Amino acid sequence: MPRLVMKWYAPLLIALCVLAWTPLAGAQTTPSTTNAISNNLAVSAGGVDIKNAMNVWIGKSKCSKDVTFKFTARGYSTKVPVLELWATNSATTDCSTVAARSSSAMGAKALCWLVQSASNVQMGAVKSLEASANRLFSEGGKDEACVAVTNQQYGVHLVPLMSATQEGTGTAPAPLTTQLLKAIFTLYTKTPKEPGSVKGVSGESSIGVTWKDPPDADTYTKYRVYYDVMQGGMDTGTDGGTDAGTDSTTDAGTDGTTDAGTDSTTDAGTDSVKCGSGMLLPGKAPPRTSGTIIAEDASSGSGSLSDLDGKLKIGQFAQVGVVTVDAAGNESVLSEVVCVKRVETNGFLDKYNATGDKGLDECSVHAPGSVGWGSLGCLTVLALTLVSRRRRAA
Amino acid sequence: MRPRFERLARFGLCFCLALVALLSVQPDHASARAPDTFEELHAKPTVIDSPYWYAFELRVGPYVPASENDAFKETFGSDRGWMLGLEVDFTLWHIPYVGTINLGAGWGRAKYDANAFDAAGGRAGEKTEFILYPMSALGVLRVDALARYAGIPVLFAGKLGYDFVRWKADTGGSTDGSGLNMGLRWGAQAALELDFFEEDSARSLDQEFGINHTFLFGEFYESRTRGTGDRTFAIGFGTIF
Repeated sequence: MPRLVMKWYAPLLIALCVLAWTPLAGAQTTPSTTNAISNNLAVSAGGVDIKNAMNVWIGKSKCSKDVTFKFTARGYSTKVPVLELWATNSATTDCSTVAARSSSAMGAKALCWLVQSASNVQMGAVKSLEASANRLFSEGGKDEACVAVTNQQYGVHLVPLMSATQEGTGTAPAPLTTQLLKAIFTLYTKTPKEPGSVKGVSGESSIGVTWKDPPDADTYTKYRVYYDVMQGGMDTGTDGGTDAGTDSTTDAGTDGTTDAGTDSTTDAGTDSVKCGSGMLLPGKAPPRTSGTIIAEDASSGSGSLSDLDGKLKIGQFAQVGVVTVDAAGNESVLSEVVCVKRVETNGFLDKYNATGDKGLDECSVHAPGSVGWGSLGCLTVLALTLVSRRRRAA
Repeated sequence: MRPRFERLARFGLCFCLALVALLSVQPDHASARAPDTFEELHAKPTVIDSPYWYAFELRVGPYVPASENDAFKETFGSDRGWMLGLEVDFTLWHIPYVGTINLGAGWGRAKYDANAFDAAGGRAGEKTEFILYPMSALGVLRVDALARYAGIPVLFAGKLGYDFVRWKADTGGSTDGSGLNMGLRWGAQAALELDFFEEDSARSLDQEFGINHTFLFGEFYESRTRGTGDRTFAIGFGTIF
């Protein structure tokens, strides 16, 4: 009997033990990319290194004429007279071939377009070629290449040549080597839809928001919550959730400064009054300034900002708005923007201690935080030990 | 009409009694041969039960702590928590014709949450939580004489021990306080042994997995720990193995 009992109970008890000590890891969604281009090519865009150059997602923020892509090649075993950077609007077209780089005899355009070139690259030297996004993703550098594009793939190829390609002549020199250095980019510049039904959550140790997900859940992967701490928006009175009227005139409390101007709707506990005098504007892109703007990533229908000391004082307001973010890093416009106030709060323990009862004070002894779940682990170990002892004794 | 109704009622009663009598004398199992002796005829079938030394209980029930003042009710309203718990017993002594004396260890968890209060007494947006982890060391007397010797599938248990309740109070994700409260714990349990539903399956469970008996139980218990205690009940499922 004991041997069989061990088999039956062991997985359950071990699972409980593991659960006791293992925090649940949050699920994380990342763009679908495949790893590693040739070791000889490194790509950076806008000063940021792109690690997975085989399929790089380019969002709206990186698809601009102001963003420069830098392709760095190294490790050539021979001197390269001409190194050319070619681009094509296909992931499968090979720009190293003569046919792809030359126009046909009938005058049809080549499949690839020349972006940049360098000459006399020395053996073993590191060489970088740079190009702005609009030159990379459109022949002739048209700005509209980046407007509302979804899943458009581009290939960028570094081609070593004996002599420079003469565009429009119908001929092109053969590449020096068949070792092709290339990067595949997927443009996705269409922004997702913003969240709705945003409500502020006031608090003392944290403030936050809740929202409803926009439709088409496959068009975004996470949320970003923007907080703009409103300087001077102090409310030191007792506007603590019971302000059920229309506070549209002068706040007759001890408001030392202006009360953010827009405390004009119902303030029914969640402080979800609308406010428009800050940096966050509903329906607009979030501001790119630093300082009072704090951006926090979130993955569910709520987000919060903690560690408020030094950021937000008791009685001070913060403007809060939410955006959705897609796999390419595109942000939606800001959702409805709400004002959330940091308020002093009393929890259950404050309430209990206020009664004068010492049950959760003097009657308690200190215990480490791990005692709760840890004791379940100990009980599991104890049970396993007893059962295994019984097994040996049987 | 009335005499006819009485006749029908009398017939129905007689039919039911006859049916019960018929079912009660029906043999449990067909016998390959006729019994040879009076003892063999009337002897109870021998049931080979493997030795058992442990009991395991999984339980759930309402739990409202801190009833000594109104703070809990004012904060969490009618939140009854649902205390989830488990208990493991180890048999120290089999008392002949009575039951077993056991040493038990229990663990449970209950969580309560509500919006915290702001300075004016209204509700703020952030949450306040109160989490309990009661851990108990118990002496358990399990009386199974009725089930073992009288064929009545009822078990009783009395429990007495000490409770160690680890508690934690949070507001807005930061800890307001925590501690360990201790106090007496007692409980009285009545259980319905499930073996009689399917005797053969119960014996197979013993032979295959070493689980001698399974039961459903209800338990009335009290944790006398100030601030974290309650007098309440739980229902659950248990095994003896």
